[in-house]
Amino acid sequence: MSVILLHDGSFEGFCTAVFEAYLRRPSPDRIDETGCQQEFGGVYVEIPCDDAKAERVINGILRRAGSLAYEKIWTAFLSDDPEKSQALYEYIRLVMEQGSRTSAMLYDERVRRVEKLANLVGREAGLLLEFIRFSRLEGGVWYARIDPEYPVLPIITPHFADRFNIQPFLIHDVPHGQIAVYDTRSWRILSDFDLTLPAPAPEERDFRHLWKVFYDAIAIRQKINPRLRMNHMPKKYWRNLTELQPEPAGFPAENKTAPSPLPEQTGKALP
Amino acid sequence: MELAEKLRILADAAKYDAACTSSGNDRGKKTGYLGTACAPGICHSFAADGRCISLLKVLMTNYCMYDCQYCINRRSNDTERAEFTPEELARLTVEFYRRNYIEGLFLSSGVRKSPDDSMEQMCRVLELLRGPYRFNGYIHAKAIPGASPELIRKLGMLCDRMSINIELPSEQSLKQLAPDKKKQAILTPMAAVRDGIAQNREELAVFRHAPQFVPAGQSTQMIVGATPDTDLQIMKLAESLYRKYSLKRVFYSAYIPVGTSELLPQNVPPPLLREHRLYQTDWLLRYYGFTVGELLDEAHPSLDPMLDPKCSWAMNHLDFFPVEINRADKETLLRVPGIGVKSALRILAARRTGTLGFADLRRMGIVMKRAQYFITCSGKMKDGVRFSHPFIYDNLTAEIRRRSDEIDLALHGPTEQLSWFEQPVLLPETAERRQLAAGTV
Repeated sequence: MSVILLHDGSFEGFCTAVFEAYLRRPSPDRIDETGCQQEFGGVYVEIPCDDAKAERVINGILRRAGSLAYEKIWTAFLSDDPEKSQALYEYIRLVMEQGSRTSAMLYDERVRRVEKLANLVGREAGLLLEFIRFSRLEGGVWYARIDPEYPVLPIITPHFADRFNIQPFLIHDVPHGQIAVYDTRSWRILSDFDLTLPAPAPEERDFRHLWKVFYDAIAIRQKINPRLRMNHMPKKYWRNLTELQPEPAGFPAENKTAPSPLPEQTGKALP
Repeated sequence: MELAEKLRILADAAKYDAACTSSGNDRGKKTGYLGTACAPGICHSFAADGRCISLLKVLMTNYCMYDCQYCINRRSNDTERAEFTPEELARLTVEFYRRNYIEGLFLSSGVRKSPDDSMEQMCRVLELLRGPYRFNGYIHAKAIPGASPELIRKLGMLCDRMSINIELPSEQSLKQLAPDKKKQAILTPMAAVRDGIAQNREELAVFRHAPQFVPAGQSTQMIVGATPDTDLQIMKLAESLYRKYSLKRVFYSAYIPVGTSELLPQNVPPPLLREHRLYQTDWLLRYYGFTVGELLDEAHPSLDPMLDPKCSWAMNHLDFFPVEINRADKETLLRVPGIGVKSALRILAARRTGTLGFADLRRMGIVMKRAQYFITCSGKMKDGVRFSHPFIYDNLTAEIRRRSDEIDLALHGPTEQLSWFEQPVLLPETAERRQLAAGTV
């Protein structure tokens, strides 16, 4: 009969489950997430998250293989792959055994799987650094909507907090129901919030228009190449790109039918 | 004139400049200032031609007293003219930047009254940005040939990267097509920037917080296909620019017919494949330890359109191959077609943990399409591969031959021609192109 440890879905919860897995004799067969598809005949054990235990696992990885390996694990964990818990558990076992040389063992299935998960998440985070568009709202807060496949806010927010350190901003991850809030001093990510957005500031329309003018003027007519553009800038990001919206570029109040980079106003209050 | 109108005209006038990279400098946040710079550079959008948009690329003005034949802004060309005020342009840059539209500013200019006058206008924009607007993002400024050393020095203290366009690949071409520009007027400021960077490096070694002069280095661009200069001449020039002037990048821009002079090609498509082959060669010089002399010579002054330059070199040096994956050093691995810097490093790291076979390479994500003809694993070639010139050549060129047949068909066939005209199908694929566009690696 197989034994499966279940974690609560958080990274710390997962690390706690790994800690438990190391303690148990015999070792459990798998680690998975609460709410996963359960097999008949399996014994499922819920492991409550314990920060102290999680920290020992994290420190173990850092000590054994360094911060790059840890970052890879942490990044891969943001993936939504249903196999990720097991893949990462096997990877951590390998890391504890092989140390920092693990990441070079790309011919090993276990290494490649984690590498692939981390790359998918990392790629999306990288593209969002490029394609996020902020709008200035009345009152001076800057707002950006994103619709990513993976919950990448923890990866990308530090970049914007550095870059725009003088402007308070919100980055709203709509599909994952998370929002990054930066108040010019520090940032945090909330998943439990009510959001009421003020209207876009009046100058917003002008600068969106100017940006579209620039975007259209900079292309060389003799080199038009839709496929190349699509390769670099996948279509799923277009809905939030100011330059690819029809004019007038997305003022929900004035033009409800136009695809808009701003979300529907929900009438709820900010935290 | 409205700002939008100016922006349209001055972006249009700047768009033929290829060098729009935001790379080469890492600058963390400065509290109270807007912006950061990160060394690999960031693209923010891609225009309808598939080129990356990283910086707000505009001219200060497209009024110009020069009459360079290849240039759309030449005095004799009947085109719309406009000029930004420094305040307008500084504000526009900052507002775009705050919306994450751009990574910074790329500023060039026509020469309205004199080189010094244009440089002063440009300096004014940069001073506004670095001063009152507290802008800490990326700035690439173009130095105007013939400007005074003081102004070049001043501009260099305000920007991240500076470039001076060499314009055409030979002095003779320059004489014919750009009679107002002298070779020395281009090379003198280039040397001044190089020396400034070297001197600044010493200052920085002594005083860590000394102001930085052109920290992201300098680059240049030349137009390809407007003049009869050969690939050999072009790459020789690039090689000596890298060596003598310590340039970070040389850009090659396929000439798009904008001039009417009889000295220039008319009604021909821009030589995009040639431009691509030149960039590939440029990559081989900078990252793969090749010299121009190995790739081109007087007897073979043009790059092969059918094969990329590394494959082409390999086909002419089959005695160098096959290379043993488990033993070859890094320099040797880098000479294998299809093995790039990243793959070479992966192989070096992986083989320290065990002996590698073909299945391992495939699992590691090493692309075997070209490499398979040139390597052995533990002394064995891949199954089904014959190490002979005709066999390898046929396989390497199969795809491009098939595609050129398709193009011929599309060009001469009766239907569906337009899609082929619109898409330069010979352009190679994404990753390298993207890096190329972004100026990363």
